[in-house]
Amino acid sequence: MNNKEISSFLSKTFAADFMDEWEITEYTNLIEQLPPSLHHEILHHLKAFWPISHALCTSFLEQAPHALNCFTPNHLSTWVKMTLETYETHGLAAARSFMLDVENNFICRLKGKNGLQLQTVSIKLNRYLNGLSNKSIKVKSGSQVSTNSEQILLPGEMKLYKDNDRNFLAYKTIVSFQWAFIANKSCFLDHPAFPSNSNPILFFNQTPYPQLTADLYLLVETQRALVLLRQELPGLMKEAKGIFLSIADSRPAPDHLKGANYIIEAVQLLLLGKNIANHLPPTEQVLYYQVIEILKNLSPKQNTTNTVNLVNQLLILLQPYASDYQTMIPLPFQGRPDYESAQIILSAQRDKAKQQAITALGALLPQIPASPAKPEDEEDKPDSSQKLSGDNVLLIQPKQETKPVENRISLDTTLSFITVDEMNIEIPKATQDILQEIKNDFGYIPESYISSGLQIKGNAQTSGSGPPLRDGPELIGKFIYDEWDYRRGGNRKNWCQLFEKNIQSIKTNFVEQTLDKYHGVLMRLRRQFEMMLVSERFLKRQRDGDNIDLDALIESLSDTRAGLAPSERLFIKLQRDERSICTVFLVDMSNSTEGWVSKAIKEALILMCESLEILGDSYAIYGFSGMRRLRSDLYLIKEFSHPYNQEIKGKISAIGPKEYTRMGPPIRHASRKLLQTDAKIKLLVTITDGKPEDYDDYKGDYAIEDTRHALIEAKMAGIHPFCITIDQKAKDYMAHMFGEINYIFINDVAKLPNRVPEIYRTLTT
Amino acid sequence: MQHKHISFEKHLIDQEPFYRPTGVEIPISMAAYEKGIPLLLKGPTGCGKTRFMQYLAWTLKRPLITVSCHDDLSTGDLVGRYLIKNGEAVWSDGPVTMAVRAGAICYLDEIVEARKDTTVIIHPLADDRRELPLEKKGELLIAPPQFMLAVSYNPGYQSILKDLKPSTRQRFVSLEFSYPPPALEATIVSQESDIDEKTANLLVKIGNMTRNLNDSGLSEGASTRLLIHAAKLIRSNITPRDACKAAIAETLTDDHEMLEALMEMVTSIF
Ligand SMILES: Nc1ncnc2c1ncn2[C@@H]1O[C@H](COP(=O)(O)OP(=O)(O)O)[C@@H](O)[C@H]1O
Ligand SMILES: [Mg+2]
Repeated sequence: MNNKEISSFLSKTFAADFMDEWEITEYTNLIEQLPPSLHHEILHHLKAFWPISHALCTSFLEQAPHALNCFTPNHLSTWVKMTLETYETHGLAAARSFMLDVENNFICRLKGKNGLQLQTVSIKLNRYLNGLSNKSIKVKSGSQVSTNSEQILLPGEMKLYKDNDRNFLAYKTIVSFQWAFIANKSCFLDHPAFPSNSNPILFFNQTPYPQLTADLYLLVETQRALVLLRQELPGLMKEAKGIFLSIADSRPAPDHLKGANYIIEAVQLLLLGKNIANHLPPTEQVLYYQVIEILKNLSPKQNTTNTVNLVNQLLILLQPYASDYQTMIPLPFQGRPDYESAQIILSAQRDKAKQQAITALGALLPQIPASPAKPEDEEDKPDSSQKLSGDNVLLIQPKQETKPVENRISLDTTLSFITVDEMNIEIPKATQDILQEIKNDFGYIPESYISSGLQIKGNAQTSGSGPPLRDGPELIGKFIYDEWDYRRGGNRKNWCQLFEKNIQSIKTNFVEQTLDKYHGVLMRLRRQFEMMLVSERFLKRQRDGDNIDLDALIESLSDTRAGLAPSERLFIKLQRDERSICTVFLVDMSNSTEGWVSKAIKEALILMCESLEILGDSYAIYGFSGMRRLRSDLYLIKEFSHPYNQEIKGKISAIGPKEYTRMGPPIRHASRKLLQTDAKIKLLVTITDGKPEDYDDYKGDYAIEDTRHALIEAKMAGIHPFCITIDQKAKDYMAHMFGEINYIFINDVAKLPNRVPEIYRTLTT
Repeated sequence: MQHKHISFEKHLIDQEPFYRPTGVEIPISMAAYEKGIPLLLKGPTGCGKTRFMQYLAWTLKRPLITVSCHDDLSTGDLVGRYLIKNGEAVWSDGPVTMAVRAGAICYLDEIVEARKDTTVIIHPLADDRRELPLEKKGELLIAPPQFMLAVSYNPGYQSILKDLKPSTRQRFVSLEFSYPPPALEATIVSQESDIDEKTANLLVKIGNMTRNLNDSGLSEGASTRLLIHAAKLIRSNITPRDACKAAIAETLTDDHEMLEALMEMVTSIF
């Protein structure tokens, strides 16, 4: 292509996207310098870059000549793809430096030299883990493979192999092994000589050779994990054989090892499928076979009691060598379990279970006013559990004869009901599960849990609950919603309060200004939206319908008279091709929208309203913000029934930044409102500038997961949720929250007003 | 309506349907039937509700009339309406009316999908009045003792939204259906698809993995039905991986990330 062709291509392709003359000239000159055979491809890539970042577009064209010196043109599209990925994950600067160092960043990776990055596969691994276990276990990068029962640490990159499919398999194998440790509860001692779920290190330190004991313990647990994996994941175990063998081959040659070390290494290698029994010196060989014999008796059903017993047997066998023993090098998938932090997690879980049990039991007690659950931080006050614990409440433990100190409360041994003042209260399934977990952990339910439950209730009744409401004249209604807690995989019941609030219409010329500013855009929108209008039509001669088709009836009557078989198609049906669409626009009014963003959102809403008025689709606009779980505010800017008039325009103009972004409650509430409509298609469009986040612990994964769950609920109810965001980091979490195709990222705030109606149009045609 | 001439025999189930109870659903339903109380079957799709109704109908030797509800289903569709036949307006019974007249078992599948106005006829039929007003026809039918109403619904997520109204649900005896315990589910899968127990067991493992995924974004895990589909494909010599991909993974999601994760689970089993 020559200069003129390129520039005319650019102006044609990017006309609607605001590429100005100056940019067109600049790009044309840059493209012209590239090999003509690549012009088409480059222009094609430009289409991908342009909507994402103009700056990146320029950099791309500047760097392309150098890059094309480093690799053949058939790699160009991969290079572009990786650049875009870098931009999306790490931003413009990173993308630029990625493009600069083609050799290290691209060629090496292309050749597989950099291996597989954990971050590129962590979502997949997490989901895989989620499938294996109904508990939430996450992978994280760490210096040594290990697990603490809640997290699995993996190397940040995997370069065992040249090809990344095999590297992924290696990750998957490690993750599966670590999962098996978790599933087998390898991190916790379950032995009569120790308190329930103790730290295995307690046991190691009781023996004369803690180091050797620790390794033997790990060896036995690995064997047990292997048994579990063979049973549960036969496909993986088949696939992993190759990996096992290459691990075996990459271990340092064992011949220099001595005594117990040699025997243990031989056992480890056997586990990988490599038998070196014949190389062992005679005495070691005998012991080796005895060790193998002992390890044969494992089944995944056993617990660590059995492991401790086996380790004791092994210790006796290997005692003669114990003093020279050197810590073994663990296998890559074996790592070293982090017993210490497993204990910390356990005690945190115990605390949480305790709080849950207390809250749940408290909620069971009679005459419960319908109030939101007590905040967890209040439950944490040290006084309540201490004051009462133990001495005035009875707890029934299985088959244990305790005389009631105070005959008020007792818990049935099957955990299915609780007796308060001789009245049986059924325990809901969810609470039973919590109690069962506690019982599994300790072997019984500590009585302070129940007494505290009682205490909580007492507090709630005397002091009332929730913070003071700020119910000024703007308050319209109060609603209570559950909140999804991904950590427990269940709802926090009645956790949030949402207030419907009025927003004061204001008098400004904001609307007029906007209409003026976007005059051209509006003309286009009007035309486009008019074309979407389809009217109702009547279908004649139907078998059934809303009205009798007189023509057909008369014909049929005359047919009958004439002795012919009359038609049965005598009805007129009103075919409603008409648009039955109801939309809620849910607008982020958090303080981060201050300035630019808020203005762009308002402009977008005005253009949207103007367009929708043409179409006649029903729509409502709500703004949301709030602070903490007990005050989510939903500002009613326009209800479905309100006409778009001066007052509504004034309300849109009044939209402004308020507080935080707790997204769950407004989504749930907007969904509820949408579901009250009869529309066939119910659309929930959220416009936001960032992640959900509140002042309390509504942050990070928790906030994302709750928002996501609220969206899933909406979806299950037949609503189509869609999100328009201008958050730069949106990619990280949006797809997870809204689903791959249910959100759009607008990189330039200025484009928001323009794009919103367009998006609506594509969504509803 | 095409149901007009449906005969008693046509809806009788003469062969014993294969059904494995997972709890006390059979004695409870029999007792409810005896006492004229309607049934509410709750549970995700494909976990044996329809099959159970067939089994119940067979045991009770009553015809079974099933209506799959959808959002356009109106009272007229259930009760009946006038049609013009041979120049005359002729009343045509809807499935519910037919079931009442015949003393059959009437099963409304996915009741929450039906239009809200259908509760007008469900309520009087479901409580102890057991009556069905044919408003247009000016007739009031009283259900004979042999008649039974059963409805199903899928609570799905803990959705506040698509819920059965308490006033409706409180008229029913409710049975929860969920995925059978692994060993039983494997037996069902192997029976229905004629596949070996071992493969059936592995399929059930995959099923259970997908059911764990609801907080990773899969709204519903694989149902028994999907596992049976996969098993049938395997039985027709499709490789287990391909069978699981087509019958399970692709069926459950369109999301690529999720699909990959599901396939990782499949490949760790087969
Ligand atoms: N308990 C069971 N006994 C026998 N087959 C079952 C059972 N549960 C599920 N199935 C099988 O699963 C399939 C789907 O069940 P179905 O009754 O159609 O589900 P639902 O009506 O709950 O959506 C049935 O065709 C049957 O093969
Ligand atoms: Mg069904």
